[in-house]
Amino acid sequence: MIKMAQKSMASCLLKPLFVIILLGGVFGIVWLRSSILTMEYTISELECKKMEKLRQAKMLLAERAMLLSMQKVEKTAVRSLGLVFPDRTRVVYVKAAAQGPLKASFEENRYRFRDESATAAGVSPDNVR
Amino acid sequence: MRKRGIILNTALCFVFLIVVVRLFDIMIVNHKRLYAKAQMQQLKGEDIRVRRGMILDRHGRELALNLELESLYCDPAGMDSPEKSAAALSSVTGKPSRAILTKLSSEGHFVWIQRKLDPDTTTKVKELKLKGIGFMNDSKRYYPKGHLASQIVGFVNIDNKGIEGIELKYDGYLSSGGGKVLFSRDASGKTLSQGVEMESKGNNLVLTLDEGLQYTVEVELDRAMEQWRASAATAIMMDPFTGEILALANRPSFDPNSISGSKNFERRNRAITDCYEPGSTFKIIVGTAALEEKVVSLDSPFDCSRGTIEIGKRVVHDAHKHGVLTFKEVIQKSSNVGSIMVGMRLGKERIYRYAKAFGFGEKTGIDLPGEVSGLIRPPERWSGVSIGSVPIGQEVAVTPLQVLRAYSAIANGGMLVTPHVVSRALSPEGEEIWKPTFGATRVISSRTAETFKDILKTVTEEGGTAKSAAVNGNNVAGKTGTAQIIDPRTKRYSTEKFVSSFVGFVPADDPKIAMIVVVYEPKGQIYGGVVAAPVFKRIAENALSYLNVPREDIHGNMLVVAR
Repeated sequence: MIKMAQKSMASCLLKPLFVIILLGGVFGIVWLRSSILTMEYTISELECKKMEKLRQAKMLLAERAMLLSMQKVEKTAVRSLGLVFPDRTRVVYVKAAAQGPLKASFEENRYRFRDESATAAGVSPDNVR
Repeated sequence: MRKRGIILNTALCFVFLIVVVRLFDIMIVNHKRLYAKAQMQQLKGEDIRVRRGMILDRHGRELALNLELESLYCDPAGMDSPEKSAAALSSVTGKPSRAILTKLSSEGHFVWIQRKLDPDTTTKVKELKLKGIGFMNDSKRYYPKGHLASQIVGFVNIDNKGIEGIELKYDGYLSSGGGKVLFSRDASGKTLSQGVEMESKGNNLVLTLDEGLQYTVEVELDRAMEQWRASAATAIMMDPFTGEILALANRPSFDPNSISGSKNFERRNRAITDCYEPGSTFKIIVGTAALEEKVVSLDSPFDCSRGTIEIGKRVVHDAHKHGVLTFKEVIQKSSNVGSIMVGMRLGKERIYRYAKAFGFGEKTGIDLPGEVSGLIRPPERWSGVSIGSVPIGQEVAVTPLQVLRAYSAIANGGMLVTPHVVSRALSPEGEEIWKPTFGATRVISSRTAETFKDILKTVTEEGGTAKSAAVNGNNVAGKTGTAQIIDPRTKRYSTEKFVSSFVGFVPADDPKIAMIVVVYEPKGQIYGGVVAAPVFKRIAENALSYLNVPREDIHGNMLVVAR
């Protein structure tokens, strides 16, 4: 008698459980598929935005390259700022490698190129700018 | 009640059976046909965008890059009113209304209206909201520096295939394979991402050119063209030790951004495609050969006092009567008579052998399309007067690059280098994937090269033919050339048309640059020392400043910086 009651209870529980699992599974699959689709839409939109940003970046790169062309730079330097290309006789070369704040002074004949003392002091055509 | 139940069950079973039969029909019997039909509706094929790599100068400054634009197309079958649409599109794009109408009225479902519209025009066309009009992403090659180095960089056609210059020579490196990707789309036409990279990028190329030097060269060539009202001009600057081309320019030139507006002769890279008779710059061959073969010494005398020399029926003149000249002075003063005498001592076989060794009559191997080999006839094909012509640069055809390469061999101690314009290829991510290597061949001993270098230095000193090529603060070694052009009408040397040139290197004792300047058909003056040498001087001075090459007389003027 007790066994029969237990069997009937199990049967009553299993049937709805089976239906719930079945429905849950079906809805789970549908929900999963729908989430994937939504994600694909989102990725697709983001890809479009990315392409647009890349397009803008390329346009900006082109504009920068054009604005930084020697012709533009010289035009601006000469016409707007009144600069001139330096005469070589007025170009002064300074040491570039040393550290710390600069103290500059003209001291004629202190160092000489290709001079042993100059090389020892670190002044050579290779490390001046 | 039981009877009703049976009827209901039977009806349900029947309906279910119909559904099963239909499903069987759809899923099994007609599966293939229906699946294909569904695929056609749901899938959309899209081309992978192929984007060419950039072309950069040696410091990474962009010489060629891509713009992302849109191309306009139409579906003639889907147009409402072609006439109205054509008129509206004409007002925005600037194309003739009739031409657009012809396209809108054509048959089929796809016709290009205009490729690669600029962004402003694209926005305006989109605002028109015309039916049957569509846009497709397209890439346009853009050259931000315009004319600068246009004959080296080259250009591409409407489909971005290389047509000239580096764009053609390295097309395989710059572009990469495309392909097609299938996208799922919904009923409204929205596409779903497949997670595929839709852009295929080519490799970037880094050139040996320096935009700063190139600009200097081009500015000075423009100035020379204007000053001498020349028909054309060429200048090449090269590192004499490596063969790296630092700058190469020709005039006339063109803007690769508007190819349709340029002419064939403007697009020609004369530095490698055009031959000319080099004149006195070719005296390097007899000069170095004579020293190398020990036929002469620096002080060997040559009697040039008559100012002429007869070779067969031909009489060759010097520009001025010089008297007795040493071998060194023959080169310094560019004596034709003396050079022919040196050539006669050498003999035609040795002249030919050294000319070939210096690379004349053969392509230099530069990595640009269209190079010609020039011409130097083998000794057995020389005429009776050839021994009076070849030593002074006549009866030979050379390119400016060949001449520069030969002088670079003097500058670097006797090695013949391979000129080149590409230094390396970078992947889209910036990794080096290829770097060309070039060998060098010894053509003369370093001793001969040093000796001849000293002779070439005297050319720009007092008593030389090219004092105007001398650079403040640095020694210049070089040679002038003034050659007559064959008149195509008379088949004889023209008395009016000349090619003036100067080729040299600076600083002479520690060369940083080797350069040639060639001016074709200058008006007013003809001599290389007057026409081309000043151009060399101006370019060299700016280039040395730009390259931070100190003056050799700097000792007393240096700014000492203490910390």
